[in-house]
Amino acid sequence: MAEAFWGGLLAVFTLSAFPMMMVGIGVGFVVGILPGLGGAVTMAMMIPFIYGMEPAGAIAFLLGLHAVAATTGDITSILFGVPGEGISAALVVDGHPMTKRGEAGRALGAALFSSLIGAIIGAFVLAASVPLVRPLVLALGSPELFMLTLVGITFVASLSGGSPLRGLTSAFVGLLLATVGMSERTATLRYTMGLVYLFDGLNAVPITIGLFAIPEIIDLAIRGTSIAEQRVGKLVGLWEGVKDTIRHWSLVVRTSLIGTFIGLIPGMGGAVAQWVAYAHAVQSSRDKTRFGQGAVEGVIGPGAANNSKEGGSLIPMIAFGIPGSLGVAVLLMALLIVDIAPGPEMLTRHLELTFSMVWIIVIANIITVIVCFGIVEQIAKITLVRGSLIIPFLFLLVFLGSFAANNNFSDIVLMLIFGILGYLMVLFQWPRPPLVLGLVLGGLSERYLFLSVQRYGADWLLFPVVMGLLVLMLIVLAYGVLQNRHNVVHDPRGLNDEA
Amino acid sequence: MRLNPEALLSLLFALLGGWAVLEASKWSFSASLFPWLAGIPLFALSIVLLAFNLLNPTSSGGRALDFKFSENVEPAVARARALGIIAWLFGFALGIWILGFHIAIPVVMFLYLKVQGRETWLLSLSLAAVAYLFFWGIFDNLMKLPVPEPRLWIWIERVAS
Repeated sequence: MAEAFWGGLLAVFTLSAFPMMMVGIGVGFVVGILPGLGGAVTMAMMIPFIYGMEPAGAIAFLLGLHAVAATTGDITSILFGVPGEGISAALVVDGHPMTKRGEAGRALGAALFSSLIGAIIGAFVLAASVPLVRPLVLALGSPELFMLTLVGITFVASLSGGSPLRGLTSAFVGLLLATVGMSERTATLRYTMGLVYLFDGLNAVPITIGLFAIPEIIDLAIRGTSIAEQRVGKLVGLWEGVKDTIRHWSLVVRTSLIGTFIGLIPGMGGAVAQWVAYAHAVQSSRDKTRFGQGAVEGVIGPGAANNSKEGGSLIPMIAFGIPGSLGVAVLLMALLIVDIAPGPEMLTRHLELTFSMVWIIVIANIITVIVCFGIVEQIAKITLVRGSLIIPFLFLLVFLGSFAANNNFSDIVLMLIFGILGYLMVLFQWPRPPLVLGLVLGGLSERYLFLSVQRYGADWLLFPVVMGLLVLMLIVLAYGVLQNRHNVVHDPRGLNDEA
Repeated sequence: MRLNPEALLSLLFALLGGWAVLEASKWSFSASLFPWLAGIPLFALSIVLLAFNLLNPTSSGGRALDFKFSENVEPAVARARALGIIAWLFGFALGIWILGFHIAIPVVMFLYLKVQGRETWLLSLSLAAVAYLFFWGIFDNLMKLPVPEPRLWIWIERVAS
């Protein structure tokens, strides 16, 4: 085992793998920064290039691209309030307010360094869990997975603001939106209003861009200043972010493990990992009122989870050939193209290749963070440019980001509709994250519910793990309500009437 | 009893939930199970929030852990600026629909910089060109993004034929 572990490291530095990984990192860097262009979609577009490559080179290229896109997506979210990747939206909530305060360097330092630590933790959990994972994944059936999706949504909804009722309502709106389109099971057209565009359901990318980016652009126009209202010292900010990450090391470890675990569950993905990690950062903080105003923990938590989930999502693919996310599904396709069959062989014959995946995640992230630290101060200076010059470029990013996701003009209209909804939600202090999480998890949640009902009728409701998760859900809800009440009693103006 | 503007979203979501539940009642059990699971609590929670708002219209109902729009600007000015930028957003989208990405990007960028931003001619033209080159270089040339045909061309073709 140890021999394969170190053999995997050496395999990354061969002539067939290392240059390909660097090309992948370069592509992933750009793709991550540009809103709407997902790492998974770009990986799919790169598939034709891997024909004829050696397995190590092909995996290094695609995994390098995938690992880096998640990291650099954070940069756009923090600097411009426009999610660079769907999985970076949580970084907007606290990262962008830090930028407005002139702490862009600190926010980026925290996001990049926590991403690096998260990636390393996720990768090593992957390495350590290869022999142990089988019973864990097999223990979770559709009823348990359905309940896990509900627990995730409840967790985020109840901890995302002063009113858990609003959080839950927002989450149910997201779940309902996820049902739009043709039902997978019965082919019934649901809420399509006769529009062909809605047959395939609502695309989460333009909705996320609309909900998060448009209110930020409106705020920038209202303020009439640059994105950053204050200027801070040069490198101080960046290293301050690194120090923040070290200071909150326990949060980094916990959210990394959350990310890895969520990555392990097929279908959950990065969008869920970051919001659950964000909710955990809020829940574990003594002063919750700072969140949404630029709390560095709100950057560190999602930053770490975002990258640690990469290691987790590779586990079911390597062990069973079950892709946990779209990105990993493309990677699985690539493995098959280069004649590698995921499954037990990855743990025996191709163990060295499996470990080289661990090392690629780690090395690609180290290289990216070093490059980012070198150029990020220059990128951050854009936030000092006056708003009237930045706004039209943000327009361009949101329009192209929404359109490029599906090459459909209707996605731009969808983005605008949800932009207005996002504006109203910010104006009236409704939490936006539960809506996005509900939308992302809705399809998966419905699939698990359908399978549970089909297979077990109503009996699954009495399964011990299901009941345990139900109790956990109620505890989380009760905690949110009690926390809200506590805040109202101790700070009635601060939380409730200040807005 | 009167509603404050903050009840607007509760009302909107209550209507959405109610409509969703009614609509789902026309489908088979399998197709309607999940929409009911989402729609019924959505309707109930929105009605509760609406009732809270009617009983206590001065309460804002709790602050979300999110940013707030700038409060350093006069409300009337803030409203006017918000409406202005929303109008530009919709105008840009309309421009893309009618003229296509290739024409709308430089034209709207230039118009925004010159009219709204009151920038100089040179800066407005230069930045409009930079924006177009960014689109052309990455999305058109490198990624071969298939952009839709401008409506204007379709209308002209119809008139011509």
